Amino acid sequence: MNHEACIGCGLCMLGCPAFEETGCEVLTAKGRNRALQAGLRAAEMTELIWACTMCGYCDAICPKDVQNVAIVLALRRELWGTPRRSRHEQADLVLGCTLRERLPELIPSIRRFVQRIGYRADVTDADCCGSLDVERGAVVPTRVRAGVVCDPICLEQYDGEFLGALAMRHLDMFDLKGRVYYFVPPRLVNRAPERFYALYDAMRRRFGCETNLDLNRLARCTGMSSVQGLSGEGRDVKAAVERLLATSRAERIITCSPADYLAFRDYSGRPVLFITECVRD
Amino acid sequence: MLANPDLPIPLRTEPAVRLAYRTDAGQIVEGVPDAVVHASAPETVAALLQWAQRERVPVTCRGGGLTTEGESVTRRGVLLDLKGMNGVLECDGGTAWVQAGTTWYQLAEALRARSLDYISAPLNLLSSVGGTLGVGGIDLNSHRHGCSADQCVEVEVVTPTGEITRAREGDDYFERVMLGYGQFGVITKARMRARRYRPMTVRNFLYADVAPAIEDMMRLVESDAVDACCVITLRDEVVALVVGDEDVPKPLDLRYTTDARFYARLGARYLPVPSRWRDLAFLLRRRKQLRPALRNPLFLRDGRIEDRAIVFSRLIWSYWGDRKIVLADLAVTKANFVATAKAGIEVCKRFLPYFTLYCVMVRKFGDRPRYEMSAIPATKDDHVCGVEFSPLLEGREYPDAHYQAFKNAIYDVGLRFGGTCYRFGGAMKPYVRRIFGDAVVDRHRGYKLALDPAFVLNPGVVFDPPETRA
Repeated sequence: MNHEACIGCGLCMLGCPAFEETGCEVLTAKGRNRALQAGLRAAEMTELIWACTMCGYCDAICPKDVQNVAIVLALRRELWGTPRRSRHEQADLVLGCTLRERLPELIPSIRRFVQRIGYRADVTDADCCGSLDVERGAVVPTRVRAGVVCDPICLEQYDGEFLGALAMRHLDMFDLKGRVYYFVPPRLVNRAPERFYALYDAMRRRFGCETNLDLNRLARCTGMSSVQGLSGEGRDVKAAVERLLATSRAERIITCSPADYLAFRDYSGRPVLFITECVRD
Repeated sequence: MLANPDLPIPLRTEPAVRLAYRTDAGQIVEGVPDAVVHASAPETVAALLQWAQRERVPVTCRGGGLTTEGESVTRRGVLLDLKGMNGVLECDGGTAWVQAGTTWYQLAEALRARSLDYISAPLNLLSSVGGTLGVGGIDLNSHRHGCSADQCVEVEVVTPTGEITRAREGDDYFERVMLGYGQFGVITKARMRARRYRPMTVRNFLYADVAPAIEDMMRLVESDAVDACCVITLRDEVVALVVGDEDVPKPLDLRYTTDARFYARLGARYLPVPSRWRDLAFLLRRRKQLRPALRNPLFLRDGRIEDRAIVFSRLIWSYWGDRKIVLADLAVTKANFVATAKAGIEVCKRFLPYFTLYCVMVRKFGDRPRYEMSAIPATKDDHVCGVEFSPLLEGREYPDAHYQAFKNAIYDVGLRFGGTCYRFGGAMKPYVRRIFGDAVVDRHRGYKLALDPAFVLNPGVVFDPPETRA
């Protein structure tokens, strides 16, 4: 944990979902690092530890390369005691629990798209990969190689091509007509903005769509793609969706993140599409 | 008293919460408050201040927490965090009605969605609007537009006795609160002027000495030739005049030196002396770091910086940010601009191996009452000249007393040249009477006592509290 490197500038607060929701500096990376620098232990700062959605905004913007997400994970593991190792299988196509269990209707379009761009979609994941347990600190991550990963949450456990990034590399295949708001997955962009921002910016320019990329070229989150968001505990996803769309005049929302698809479907009041549903015939 | 207060708002007293406020951006002054209040509405602030007056509990305000002299740090009473009151409530195209805990970044983002921009803001976009209005707010375009406090047309303020009121440009109370260092009320909303957003082309020109760079900047300002400008130095050896243009850049008549001649001169000065190679490496490394930051492809479009404020704001922290941030800023007349910079450089050399200067000019709008006891000196000039001296610590650590002695020596330079300074509160309070004189300070302290009878709002930051009765 390199919390000692934190100089307390507060840049991490600019896009921190916990700060946006509460206005409390304490719940941001800056607040956590201040507490750690003062010698507090994990058990004395549980509220600070569980406020994090692991969107990665703080890591991307930190001028001193403080590894804030890694710090949160380490603190959660400290709270948990001795984390176990997860077991999951290699797969051509990793759908993830959210798609398999809550959005199975999206799977055919995903398979079609993946096959059209030349990837295999034969063997898919069957069980939970344990990414949310990694987030909880209950499980130590075990990186397994995969073909295409459809849910950014599963990138905690799998090394593979992310579906949304592949879609951005094949923009010619898509038809995004009308006023569109494209929700970019924060876990992906914020962990490597120099790698992924250009992809989404190209899409933004080509289709003229609004996005959740902010002035720092980083992605804002709904909080849904986190253990708290998916479990419905302590995260006001509705308010986050309202903040994201506050000035938006988009007629529909498009995303490549299954959990965020649920968030917008439930709270935006606008039609929501998964990116693979927009593939031209 | 704080353990069981008769107060209808939650006081946070957990160690993790209080410790988050134990210092400010300077990280030199430390103090853990007895409790923290996260304000979400002016009514919360009003209730807190009414209670504080009654119970004589000190209340210290914090917006962005970017003070460097401990102005937003306290060891007693309640720390009032205003950042929860953030958001743009309305925007009519020409002005925006903003909650005071909004950071300039949040304001920029909200205005950009309407293709608008604020007029001028502090380079550090993490400052809150309310906190900035209390001290000034200097931008690279302040030579044209003045400080941020001069872009405000109306405020909602909670008085120190807990009344919610409004004041507009021209009102006496408005002039008290603007540049009032948080002494006369808590700003909870502000109506800020806005303008159309325009990207900027940034150029920089190298000089071998600070004097011609400053003189060229003064000429650019007098002829209103550029939209933004400042002088930045590494020690007094790498001197850059940075100019920004919102239109197509025009040729400028400047006395800069070419890069080739500049580096040849630098080499001639350093290379023959092996003991100075380390200094040369420092200068070259720092310069190498600065250029890519200004040319980051993420923020460039067609050669122009989009979201220049974001670029500069992040640059500040990656380039100048350190475990301790020591800033000594002077504000002087045009006649004394170069001499102040030169004298300050000599002070820097006495105290520190590596340092930087940041020189800007700020337009002044007549003799507004708000300027009387502020960083804007009472002169007849139409511009004020600012010089910020800042150590580049490069991993070194010095005792806090060393930093204080450095700041004192710089402020003494300011006094010698009849100037004022940007940060005169907190740890620099002993300079308040020396800068402004007893008559001015006593008059402003009188205003404070009339508005804040129990002296609870940001007590001791600028004025001495009333003597405690036995």
